[in-house]
Amino acid sequence: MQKIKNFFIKQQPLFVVLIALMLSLVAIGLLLVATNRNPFAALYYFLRGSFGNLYNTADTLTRMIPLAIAGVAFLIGAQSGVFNVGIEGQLLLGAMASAIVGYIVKLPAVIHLPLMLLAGCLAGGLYALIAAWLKAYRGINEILSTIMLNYPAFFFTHFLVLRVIKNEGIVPATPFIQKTAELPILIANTKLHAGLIIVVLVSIATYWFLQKTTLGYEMRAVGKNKEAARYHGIPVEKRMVLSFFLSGAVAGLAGAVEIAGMHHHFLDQFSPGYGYDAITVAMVALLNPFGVLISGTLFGGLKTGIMDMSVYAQIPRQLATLINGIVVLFIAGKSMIESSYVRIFKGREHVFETGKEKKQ
Amino acid sequence: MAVILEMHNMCKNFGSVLANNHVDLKVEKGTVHSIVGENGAGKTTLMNILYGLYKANQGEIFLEGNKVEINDPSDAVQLGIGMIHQHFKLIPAMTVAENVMLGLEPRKGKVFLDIKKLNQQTQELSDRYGLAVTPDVLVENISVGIRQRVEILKALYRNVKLLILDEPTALLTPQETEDLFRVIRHLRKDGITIIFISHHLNEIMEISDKITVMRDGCVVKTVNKKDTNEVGLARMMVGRDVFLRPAPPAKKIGKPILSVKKLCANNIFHRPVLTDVTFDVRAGEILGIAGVDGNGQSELVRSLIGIQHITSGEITLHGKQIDHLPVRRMRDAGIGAIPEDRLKEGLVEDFNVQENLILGLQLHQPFSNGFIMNWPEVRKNAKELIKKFDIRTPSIDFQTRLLSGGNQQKVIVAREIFHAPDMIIAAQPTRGLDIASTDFVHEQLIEQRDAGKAVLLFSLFLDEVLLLSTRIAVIYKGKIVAIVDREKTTAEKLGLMMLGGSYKHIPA
Repeated sequence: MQKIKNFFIKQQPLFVVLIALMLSLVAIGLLLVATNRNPFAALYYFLRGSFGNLYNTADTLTRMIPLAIAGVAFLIGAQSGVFNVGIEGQLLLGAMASAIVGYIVKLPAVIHLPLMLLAGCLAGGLYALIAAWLKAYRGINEILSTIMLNYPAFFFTHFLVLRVIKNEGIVPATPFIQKTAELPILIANTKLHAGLIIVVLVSIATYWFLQKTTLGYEMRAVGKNKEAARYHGIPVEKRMVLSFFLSGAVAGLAGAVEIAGMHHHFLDQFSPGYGYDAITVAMVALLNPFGVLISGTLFGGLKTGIMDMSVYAQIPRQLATLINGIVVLFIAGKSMIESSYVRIFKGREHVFETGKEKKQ
Repeated sequence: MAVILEMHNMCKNFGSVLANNHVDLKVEKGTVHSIVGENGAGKTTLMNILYGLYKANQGEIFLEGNKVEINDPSDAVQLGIGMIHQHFKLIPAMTVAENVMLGLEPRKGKVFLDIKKLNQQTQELSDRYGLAVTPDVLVENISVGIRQRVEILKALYRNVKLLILDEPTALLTPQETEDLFRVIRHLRKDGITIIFISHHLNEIMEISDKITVMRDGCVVKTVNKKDTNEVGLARMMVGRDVFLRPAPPAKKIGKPILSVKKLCANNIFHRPVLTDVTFDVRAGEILGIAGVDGNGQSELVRSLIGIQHITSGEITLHGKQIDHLPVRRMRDAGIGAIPEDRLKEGLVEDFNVQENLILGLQLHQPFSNGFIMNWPEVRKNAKELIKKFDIRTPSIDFQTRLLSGGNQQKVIVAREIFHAPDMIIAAQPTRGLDIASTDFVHEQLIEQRDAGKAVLLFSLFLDEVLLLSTRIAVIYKGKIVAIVDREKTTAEKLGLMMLGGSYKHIPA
């Protein structure tokens, strides 16, 4: 008995997330019942829509790619104690920079594709440095600065596609990138592109960096206890700036991959808020670089599944987007689940500790 | 004289620690009644019970002869009890008057704040007690001394009869302390009873009418001021039997390893906290720094590892000046440090044990080549230290947060002692440890001393300083007031110096 209890105590973060997901499922079910719809039919069409056949699964994975890369971007920051909510802006600028490099430069694919992706990384990383400098050397809260910096990025790219580097056609967009800058399609007749390989590589590289390098060790130390890090000679401000840069660079990469693999040009407002979804993706993944592959697929599936569900189970699209919101709400409110969980498995007097952890 | 407060047979425990053990206290109306005692003697616990912050296990409280139940601070305020904590409970973004009236503000038509009346009433109250406070300035713009007076005003506005001041002088300059005493005398004249808590004997002798001495959760004695003196109080406070073995004398003392010359530093309020601190620590000796908490020890530790900005003076290690170096280079120059606050500065609680056992050493061979971590070596180091220092942990991957306090401290001690080349700074190395762990840490420090390293020991416990030190430096209000050989001093003499007394009071 004690052994089982210990297992639940040790795996607390994982179970709390799973409980949150299950509760959101129940809440959605109740919502459907309340509006006179069959929740089981909805679930069936949802699963069929996201994973029912090869095409749907490929579609889900395609949507997972930007979510998971952006999720990695968020977790790099979060592991180092910076809360980068500016992924959306960094992603947009990365996408724009890569779209421009993809369109203007003419080089063989071996060089052109990496160059284009690199341009995305640089644009995102450099943009993140503004918030990094403000936080590390001017003490400005990064949540505020990054969220505000999303707007200039959005309107700047909006302005560029409307006025400066526009394509012929009705949709505002940049001209198409060269064939040499495109990521190849992995499965014929689907949209699944080689970005999938990049996601896996990014996850591995991030894990390696955070766990196996001295910089990663120092960044994690800063993230978990700034005072101790400083006491032991780690240059706290420099590590914060570095983690911000890397986080922004990966966010920029997410944008670049979306351009190189999916759209092949910068389509105005192409991002449905990947940068914001990234936060949920990373949270559900418990800030684990491999976990984002799973949670990214989950949220990718949510996007594809909802479409089938609304068509076949006669659920209006508005209700379908509400479902997305409910999942996010339950994940965000998981500290309430946490305190009940602690009360059950550890006892009442430990509930205070959950609050303490939050403060740090 | 009438008795305003009587606390009878108060008991309070925290876990297995008895913070208050059958405490009796009687306070007379219109007097200044001081409570003195070492850290952990139970003074603040007793006052927190009186103010309703803690619930006593047993005991009765009588206020002006009537038995009262105090379940939370609002009960206490209703009864006319006010308490001013060491850390003020003010809202910096609001004005003085708004803070004073908070929750009881005068209103216009029940909804709107009557700002004119607010400021006027605050001004009147301030004038009446000679507090000299401006009602309409923001609290964030006023000094610590004035903030304290705003707290006093807050209590006065709530018709306080009994005012508790918990170490009110800890954050004040001597001038501000003088001003505070003036205010206290004014309040006493108006019939308000003051309970004054302090470590500083000279202050207590200046302001009190009666003094209660506490030690280890018990009341030692309550005396009239005129019947005692600083020496008598110091003896009651610190003159207990030493139960741990004193360290054997140092074997071979070598050249100075660490030298500090005329070091000065300021606190965050730009006030001097260290003034012309000068001392050497020699190879093969333990230099103990004795002093009451808050006399500049923290800043001195932080200066020595490069976190605290120093305004003047120099620190040399092996004759090389190191005070201008960044923290990492200072520590690489050969300083190991056991920090005062183990959870805040000593450990990353969410790291596992093996990660914590190399904190600060991650760039050193063999734990990395400067860029790539060498985890097998880190594991080897962890296994070795866990065995050598008897750290009780289920595994090397165990989260440090979940270890007991003693074992967490062992992780820090193991890391710093084992890898420190020549100089070990140990700040409160046994704080919160039980006797066995304390003894273990002491043994380790002595072993390092005998291995020819220099040890600088900071401890708030005079017993510990006396046990371990070869020489003892006394720090008081940011100055080293004396450096003496252990054999040539006594606890009473040191205690007196720590508390700001001077040599002339010491009987020959």
